Amino acid sequence: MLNRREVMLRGAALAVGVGGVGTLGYLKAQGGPAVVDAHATHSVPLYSERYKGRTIEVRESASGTEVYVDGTRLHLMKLGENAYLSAMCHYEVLGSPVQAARAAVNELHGANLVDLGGHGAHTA
Amino acid sequence: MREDTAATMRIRKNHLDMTKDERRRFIDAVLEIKRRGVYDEFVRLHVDVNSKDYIDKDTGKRVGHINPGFLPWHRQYLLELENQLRLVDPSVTLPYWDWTTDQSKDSPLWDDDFMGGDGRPEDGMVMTGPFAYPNGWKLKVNVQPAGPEDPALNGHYTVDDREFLIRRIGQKIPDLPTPEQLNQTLDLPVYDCPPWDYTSGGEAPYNSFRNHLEGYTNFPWEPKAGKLHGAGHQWVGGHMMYIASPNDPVFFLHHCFIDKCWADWQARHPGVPHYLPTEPTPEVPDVNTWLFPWRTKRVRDVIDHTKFYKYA
Repeated sequence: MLNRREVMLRGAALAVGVGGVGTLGYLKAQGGPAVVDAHATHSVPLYSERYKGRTIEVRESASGTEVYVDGTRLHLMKLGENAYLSAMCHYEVLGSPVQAARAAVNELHGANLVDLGGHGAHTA
Repeated sequence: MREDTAATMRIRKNHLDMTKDERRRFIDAVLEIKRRGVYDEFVRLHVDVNSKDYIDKDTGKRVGHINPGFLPWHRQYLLELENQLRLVDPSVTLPYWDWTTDQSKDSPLWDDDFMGGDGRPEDGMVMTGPFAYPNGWKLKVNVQPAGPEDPALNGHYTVDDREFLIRRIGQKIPDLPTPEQLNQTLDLPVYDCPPWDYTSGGEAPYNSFRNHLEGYTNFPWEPKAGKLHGAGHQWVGGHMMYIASPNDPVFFLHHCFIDKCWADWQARHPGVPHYLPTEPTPEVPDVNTWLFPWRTKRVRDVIDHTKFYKYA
């Protein structure tokens, strides 16, 4: 499913995830100062891309595949193989987490996903 | 919850058949429960029930969507909202929007005294009618976490930081379903079938009225796209496509029509079970499953809607 560019990006995703602005929101939401530790224990970056000026990141965690737009998790519901709904595209089945994230970016028109609830989500 | 006696039977009708006064009373009641904070709790509940982790903690069953519980769960959800509206004004009932025939953007549905119109081109913000941001309809964007649910949605009333209602009518899909499309689904004689999910009834003999109405599967001669219930959400666009779709009050007119479709289907198929499964089934609500979070009615208690209201 991934094209060559996407496969190459997989290798670079870790650096993007740790150093880039993309995951800061998520990491802050965990409330911990140990940014790298949070990464290591919570999820593994698989893929990152820029789409319409937004950073999309796919990560693997204990609970499954997660996808982030500019560091905030997009709620994803896996219905089956190659079948996903997201919080922003809830009435049409999409083929992959990246497709779900792009659809969300299209809908957002520059707005931001609401940050994670719980665990001190609103640390500035 | 008080149930109505026959003397005060609620009559739900097509919004096109409402008088000017009935339209005004309905809108006023919606605005009042919004002011009281009640409306937003219905929005939050819809988000919660759609959340991956939101299953009944006692039984492990999911009820709201993409399973047989779709129709009974929304039946009680609408009833509970209607009850709240009637605390404000006892004459109010939910109207429905029959999108198989009422398809124009110039329909009275979208008039300034009712649902208001389409969003503006640049950001989709609804600018007219009672649910326009400039007229005071503000979405709740702050997160108020409660309980151990999935933190990506826990305590959410919407999924992004826009406080204004968004519509993009006809942009995602240009056309609403036709009477013939609905008719083909109403002809299906079986309520639902294993595996009781988004794939049910996708192949002949198409044994899932529920899934074809909910719109996650298609007949082979149809394009692979959300249909009927799903198409209504997508045609309006904006918030109606999101998990927090009840932020747009047209949600309730759309779902009132879906609820009527279940009633019409029952009338068309008097000799078959009007809900399946009838036997206990892992992770799937059966006729005896309590509808949560209310736990005041089981699925079987809401199969016959005429105990609660009638469609004119």
